[in-house]
Amino acid sequence: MKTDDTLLTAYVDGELDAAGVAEIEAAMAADPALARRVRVLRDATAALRAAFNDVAREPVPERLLAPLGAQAPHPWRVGALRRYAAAAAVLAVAALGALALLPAIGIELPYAIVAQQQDGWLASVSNYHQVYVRSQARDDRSLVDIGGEDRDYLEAWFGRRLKRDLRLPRLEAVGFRLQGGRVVFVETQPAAQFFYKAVDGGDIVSFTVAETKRKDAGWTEVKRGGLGVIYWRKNGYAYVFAGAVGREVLERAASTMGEREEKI
Amino acid sequence: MDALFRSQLVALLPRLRRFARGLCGAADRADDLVQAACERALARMEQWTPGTRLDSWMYRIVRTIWIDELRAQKVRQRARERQEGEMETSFDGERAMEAQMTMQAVREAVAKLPPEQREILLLVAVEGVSYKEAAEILDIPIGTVMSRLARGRAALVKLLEKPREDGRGGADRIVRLS
Repeated sequence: MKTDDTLLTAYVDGELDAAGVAEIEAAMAADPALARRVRVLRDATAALRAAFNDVAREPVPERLLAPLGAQAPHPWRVGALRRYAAAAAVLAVAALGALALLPAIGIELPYAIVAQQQDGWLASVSNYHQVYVRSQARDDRSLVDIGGEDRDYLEAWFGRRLKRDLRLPRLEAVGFRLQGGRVVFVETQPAAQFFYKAVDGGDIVSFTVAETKRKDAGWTEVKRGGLGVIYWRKNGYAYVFAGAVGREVLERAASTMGEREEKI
Repeated sequence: MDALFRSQLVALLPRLRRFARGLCGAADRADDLVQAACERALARMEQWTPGTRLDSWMYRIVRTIWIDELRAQKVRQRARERQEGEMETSFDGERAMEAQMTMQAVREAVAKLPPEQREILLLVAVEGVSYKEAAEILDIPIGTVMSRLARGRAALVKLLEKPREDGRGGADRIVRLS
């Protein structure tokens, strides 16, 4: 039983190779007691995860942020965090009868945290991008404030948030479809980040508009945390395209926007 | 390097707090632990190799400090004393309360596990690190990772099975396990 438990646990944790998985699944099919044990182990794992996940959603206390040169979230961002917490509560309640169904959500939330540094604004843009990509991999849609079905609504909603006229790039010609957008914080200012997904495959390109006090900058191509990034700044706004895609693809995506007035 | 390191550390804080909460039980002790770990990380920044996983490195520091404190025999007692009523009940409604109590039961069960089972369960099941990474963080062979995880999860399952009122054990469970 002990040996079995070791293998079954490794199976539940996804640590067995294909041959091991096949072996366990065959054994489970033949032995209902074994299958039941796997369910019990899986339920216990899900319950464990659920019991601690909300800690990662709490705002990080000031005393931990300050020594690292970071700031606490903007007040109304905390409100947004509460909304996530409320959504998590609803999920937890819904899953009460079936704890095994509790999703492994919310490992990282886009905290409104910006280290005071030269390049910090770009690092946070790419971090937000990565958080979204990881949430997509878990099929977790809660990180999008508004879905991409209604472009006009999306432009109006985020335009109001950013207090400016907002036009979203159309990337259909490059092979990407709008997924949705969310409010993030870049250098303590609200910013809007929009995600586009490749029509054929999982590649994701993000477009971020952020208010900035930095001086204007022309079209710049850099790498940040495994992402290709193209940005420029004009008239108090930064425009950033990011994605783990080929340089040419990203250039074509950014050009759809750059052909308009913002490009220098 | 310094600024990038700090910002990466900031991004890790929610996860480090979660890990520490699982280890310590009490919220304030857990944050003390994270704070101590961050201070140590900043002091030893040059020991971290850029390109390697900062989260593994940090889990390791958190865990090392926790073990040191355990050895000093302070943390365990205090954590037990503060266990009750520690987690805030922010959810509304009766069923939410029920869910909250279920989670509380799980947290209490985790606090009862031996430290070596608790740390590895939290790392793998909650933090999602692989067996290989867990072996490196805890500095133990992968076979030990597997056997401790199996024992830990079996112990957790047992703890979550509530004995019946008449003391005969069995059917009634705090957490519904299939």
